[in-house]
Amino acid sequence: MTLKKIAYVMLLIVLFVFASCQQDEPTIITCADDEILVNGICEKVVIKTDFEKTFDAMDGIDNYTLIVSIQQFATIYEIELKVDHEKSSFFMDGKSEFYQKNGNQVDHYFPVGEGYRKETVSQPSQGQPFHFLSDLEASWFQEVSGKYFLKAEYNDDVALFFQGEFPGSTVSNLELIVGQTYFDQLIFNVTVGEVMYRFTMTLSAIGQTDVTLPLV
Amino acid sequence: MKKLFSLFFIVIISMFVLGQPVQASMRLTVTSRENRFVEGVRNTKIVGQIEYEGVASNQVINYLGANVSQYENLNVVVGDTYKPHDSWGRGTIFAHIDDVHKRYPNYQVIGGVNGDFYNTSITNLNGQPSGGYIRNFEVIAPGVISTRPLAGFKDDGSVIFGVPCYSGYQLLVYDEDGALKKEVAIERINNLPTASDKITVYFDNFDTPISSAHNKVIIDAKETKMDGVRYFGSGELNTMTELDVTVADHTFVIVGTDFNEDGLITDVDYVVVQRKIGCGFENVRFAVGVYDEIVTNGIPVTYLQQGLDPSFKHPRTAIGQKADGTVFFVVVDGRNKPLGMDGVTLYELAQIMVYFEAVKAYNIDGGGSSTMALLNEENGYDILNTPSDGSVRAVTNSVLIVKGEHIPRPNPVGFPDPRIKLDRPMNLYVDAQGDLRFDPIMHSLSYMVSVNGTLMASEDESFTLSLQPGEYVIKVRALADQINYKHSDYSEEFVLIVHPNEIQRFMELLKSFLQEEIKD
Repeated sequence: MTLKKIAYVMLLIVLFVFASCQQDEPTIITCADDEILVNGICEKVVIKTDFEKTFDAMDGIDNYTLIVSIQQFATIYEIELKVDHEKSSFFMDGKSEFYQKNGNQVDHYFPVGEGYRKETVSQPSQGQPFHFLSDLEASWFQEVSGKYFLKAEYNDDVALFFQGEFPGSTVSNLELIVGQTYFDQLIFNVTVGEVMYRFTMTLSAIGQTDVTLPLV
Repeated sequence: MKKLFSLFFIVIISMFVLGQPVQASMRLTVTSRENRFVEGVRNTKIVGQIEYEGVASNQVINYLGANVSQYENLNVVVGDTYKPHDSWGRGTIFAHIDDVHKRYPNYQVIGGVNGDFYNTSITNLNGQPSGGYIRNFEVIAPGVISTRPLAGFKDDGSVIFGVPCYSGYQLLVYDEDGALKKEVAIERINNLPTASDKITVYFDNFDTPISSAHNKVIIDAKETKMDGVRYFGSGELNTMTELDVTVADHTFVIVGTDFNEDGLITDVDYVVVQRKIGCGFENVRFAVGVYDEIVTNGIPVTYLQQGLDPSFKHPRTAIGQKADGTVFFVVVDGRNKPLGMDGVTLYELAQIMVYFEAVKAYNIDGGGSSTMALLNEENGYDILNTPSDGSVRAVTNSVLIVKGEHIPRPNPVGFPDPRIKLDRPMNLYVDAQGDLRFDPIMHSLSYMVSVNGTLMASEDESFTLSLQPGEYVIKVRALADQINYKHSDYSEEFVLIVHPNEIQRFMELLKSFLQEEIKD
């Protein structure tokens, strides 16, 4: 009889143990159609357009060539800017100037006679108030007939680039043309006083731009 | 006795009166007089009537003068439109003024008058002046009529009137700074030298080859003037040869033995072949031919053996000088009686010159040539008189008062030149402030900056450029004392493109952007 009791107790213990080892019933999380479960959390699925992807690609580029043409009436002035990490160059009218980072300063190479001379100058203390390649956002643009134009309310943001040198200047009609990966062109008007200048910035050679400093 | 005394008294008085030189006087009745002053030059226009030797006539008289001996900034120059080669040519006073401005940027013509008489033939001598003509120390014309006087103007403001004398031809070799290296006597023209130490010159009117073993230095002529008797040539070295040569058009050839083997004439030198002038005209910078001396020591002439219709009334032009050094011109209109312009005889002209206080005066070309011009407020020129042709006549040359100092003539340096030439400036650039900069040159006193050919002085190696948008070719030379050191050659040319101000500022903005871009 005692053995029988012991057997019942053992059975109860075994049943108890079995019962305690059984897992809870799993919670089923169901995400909405435009969501995806990430670490047990439903997150909105962001499906970026090619246009939007170019803005991500522009982040942090530090090797590129930018041709800036400025049209005033019938006259067009063309400037080639090159940036190659810690070196950059400015080319216009057949002459180049170069810049190279030197600690907290900048070495400026400028043409002198047949060669070049180097001077070390202080780097501008204040950063550019607006950067054409990294400060633009996809949401600032609206598509019109397959073209992307800056919404009017953001013109003032872009104009900050010019207003340090030209107080009161305005920017208008900015069109962005993108390529497969990066920006291709920025076309816009800058009005200084009564005169309007047509800017066209053409980006190229990203990651393939080489700036070779002159010998001094 | 009383009658005898009276007779004796009358005789004495008569002798006293008749024994004096005849000084017929003129009476001028002024109807109107207007004065204008332009940059220190005075113009007086008188409308009135003169009465001379009992004859009254209506006149319009214009005076133009300035004290060029007192004011260094006022000078007298000559202008012409002579063709560089083969012929002379004529031009209006306007064209002559343009000529002065083109040749000498340092002068601004204030006013002046027509110049010498001239050849009016339709041959290639049309426009050849009758008298001599000196332009910036070069004896362009020794004068067809050797007895014709000149009015010569020196750098110190003094004026010399008179007949110059000439003694053969001379070759003058100037270095690139215009300093005389050497003067060589020329034995003769268009003929071979008669001795090894002599040189001759052939001009391009010599058609046959120069056949000799002499050294021949061929000069590209900047200008030649010749009439078969009188010659002038200036130019720069083309080449040297001992071969036979035919004188090409617009060249002349210097012929001698061993001539120029020591490098007397180099590529940068400038040579002049001209008549050697003397009798006080050696250092005359400008001279124009004149004709009759109509006032001497303040006394007007009353009789002339020569001159163009001295007793007939014509439009007339004269040049004179006052005791204080003032040089002045007078133009009297004529051949236009309805407008009260009767014209004057040379004797009346002489009286008018004395009226304006001339101590010495000469008539120059008159008639339809008589023209007087003056700078107006629009930087153009007004014709002050009424030319009798009804328009401004093209004449041989003009004599003009200018504002602007002469560029000093360098002292002769001799040959060979013992001085050390300064190094030429290098490493030209324009800094962010728009100032031209270059490396300093040892022993230089200052620098000469040439911007598209316009010369400007710079005291040191930094020169502020204030340029309108455009393309500029800039070069610099170092200037020396010219005693122990001589000026340097010009630097390599530096091309500067100046953009409109806003474009320049856009450029600076983009340069700042580039400096920022390499910051991080």
